This record gives sequence, structure tokens and C-alpha cells, in this order.
Amino acid sequence: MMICNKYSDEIKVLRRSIEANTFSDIEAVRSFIRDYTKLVYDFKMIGLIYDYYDKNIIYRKENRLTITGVENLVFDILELLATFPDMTVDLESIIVSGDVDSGYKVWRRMRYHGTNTNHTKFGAPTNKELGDGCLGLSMMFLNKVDGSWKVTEEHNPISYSYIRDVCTAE
Amino acid sequence: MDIKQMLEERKRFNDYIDNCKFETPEEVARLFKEYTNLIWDKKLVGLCYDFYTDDIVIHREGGVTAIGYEGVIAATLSFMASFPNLKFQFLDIFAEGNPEDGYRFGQSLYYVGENNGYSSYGEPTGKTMSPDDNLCLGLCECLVKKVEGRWKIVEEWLVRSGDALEEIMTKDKTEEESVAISAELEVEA
Repeated sequence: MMICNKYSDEIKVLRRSIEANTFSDIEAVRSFIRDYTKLVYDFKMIGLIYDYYDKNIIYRKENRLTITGVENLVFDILELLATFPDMTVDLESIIVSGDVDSGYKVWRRMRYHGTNTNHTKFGAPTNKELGDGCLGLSMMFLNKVDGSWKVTEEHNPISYSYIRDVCTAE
Repeated sequence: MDIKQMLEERKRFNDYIDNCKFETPEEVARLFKEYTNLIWDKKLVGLCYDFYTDDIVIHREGGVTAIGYEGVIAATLSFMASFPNLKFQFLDIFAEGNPEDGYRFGQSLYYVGENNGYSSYGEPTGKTMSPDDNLCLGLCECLVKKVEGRWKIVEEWLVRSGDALEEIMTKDKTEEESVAISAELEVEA
């Protein structure tokens, strides 16, 4: 089977899964996080951020950097994926707390993989790989906003110096 | 357009694409106009997998030919990251063909956006391609055929206004730099 067809089919299945998710309990949220993370990072469905992040999202990153607003968050994730176009993310751990009435807190432990094949602020593509060293930890707050489930705040520092080293020529 | 309106439009486009029967050239033209919008304006880059083949051949200006879907994904992300607010302003798209032999369509559009991301030309310049300055024109032709039972773009020819893009993505020289260059030229002369 053609790889494009395989990915296209997988994307359709995952999209149907997240659209049908009712966030009714912790397991439903865990399933959503797993599917959604794969869609955005592995399958580059960056535009889905508009669906599940509040327009006023506060996104706390490393080095005193805080992103405000969904549009800026889309640009930030886009930049990361453009740096590593073949990026995939291993979700190593998901912890969920809360319930359907009061909202959920979600913890993700992720490992980013990918190869720097595009230009970045650090220079020309290095073709170096992230290997197993790029750890990402994220805490998300999921709440109902105007009847829809949205991430209203997230803390997501990434191994910035590690990425800088991978994207910098020897 | 606010986010709610954008998501509604996205759903309409998605529904049309999912239910398109590829029976007429008009249907095909409409599908690829909406598909282009979903990938670029709505940033659903993963939808490239729907209509590209593993070994897609893309012919670019200057005799460059790229083969393979990985290059399509990487180039799309790279261009999009250089212009994070990029929008496509369609001039026209039309197709010919039939369900048996496949279709061929041509599209013409202007790129609209601001260079706020890094590119192969260096750091962001903040320069814009505005809707009314008709600066950067992009044309492409695609050959669409059924492969393994699915409609796919199997070959594409693409020309963008390379010089205009270079101008947008290259920082203007400061007055001091211009003076220094002039001085160097005078010395050489």
C-alpha cells in the first residue's frame, strides 16, 4: 500500500476519533490526547490547534517565553515542525486528573524525534537528528469554553539548547 | 474571518472533498481550490497525503525536479513557516478531462503574507506581500489520475515568482552597508 494512502487513512481515523470524543471521563481524555498529539505532530495537521486551543490560550515555554493567543501558538508549532519536517513524537506518559464537570488537568511526557532539513534561525539545515535526547514535558488545562472543550493554558518547555545544538553546524 | 467562521468554512471544504465523485472537470477544479485552501490557509499540511503519491514528481522553475512526498511536506512546512500568516488569493483554476483518463488542471494565484519566519535567505524581514500589490504570482499544473483506486496528483509543474520572493525574504541593506559597498566598488574600479 502506498505510504501516502496509509497516512491519509490514519489521519481520517484519528480525526473521526477526536471529533467523536465526548471527554466524558479520564480515559476519554487520555485517548483524545494520544490521537490529537499524533495528528498535530506526526501528521502535521497544525490547523487542528484552532479547534482545541482557546483563542486566548496562555502557553508557557522555556526561557521566560510565554505565548498568548492561538494564532501565535500555531506559528510556534509550525516553526518547530518546519525545522524537523519528518518529526514524530513518542508519547511516553499521560496523566489525567479531573472530571467532566470541573474540567481536566493533563500531563504529557513526550520524546521528539526528527531531522533538521530546513533552514532555521541557527542557519542552514544540518541534517542532524534529534535522537533520543529531546524531552518535552507538558501540563495542560482542559476546560469547557462556550460549550466546546478547549485547552485554556499549557506549560510546555522543550529542550531548547538541545534543539539549538542539533540545528547548529559543527 | 474569526476562528468560528474559519472552522465552519473548513468543515464545508472538508465535506465537499470527502464526497466529491470526480465526475466532471468543474468538480475537480472546485475540489483542488478548496483542498489548496485547507492545506495552506487552514494549515492542515497532513492533507497532502490525501492526493499526493509516494513518488510524486514536481517540476520547478530553473529545471529543478523533486520526487517524493517527503519533499512536498518539508517544502510546504518551510514556506509556511517563513510566512506564518500566508494566504492564497486565487485568480483562477480550471480543469479538463474525464473519469476514465483522469484530469489535468491549472491554477493561478497570488501569495499574501508577511515574512515573519526564518528562511533560506536568513532572518525574517517583516516585509509583506499585500493583497493588492500583486507581487508574488504562483502557477501550477497538476496531472490527476486514479492510482490504486484513489484519485491522486501524480505529476506537478510549479512556478513561483522567485525573484519577488527573494526580495521579500532578503533584508534591505542599511545606509551604512550601501555606502560601504559603493566604496568597495569604487576601489575596485
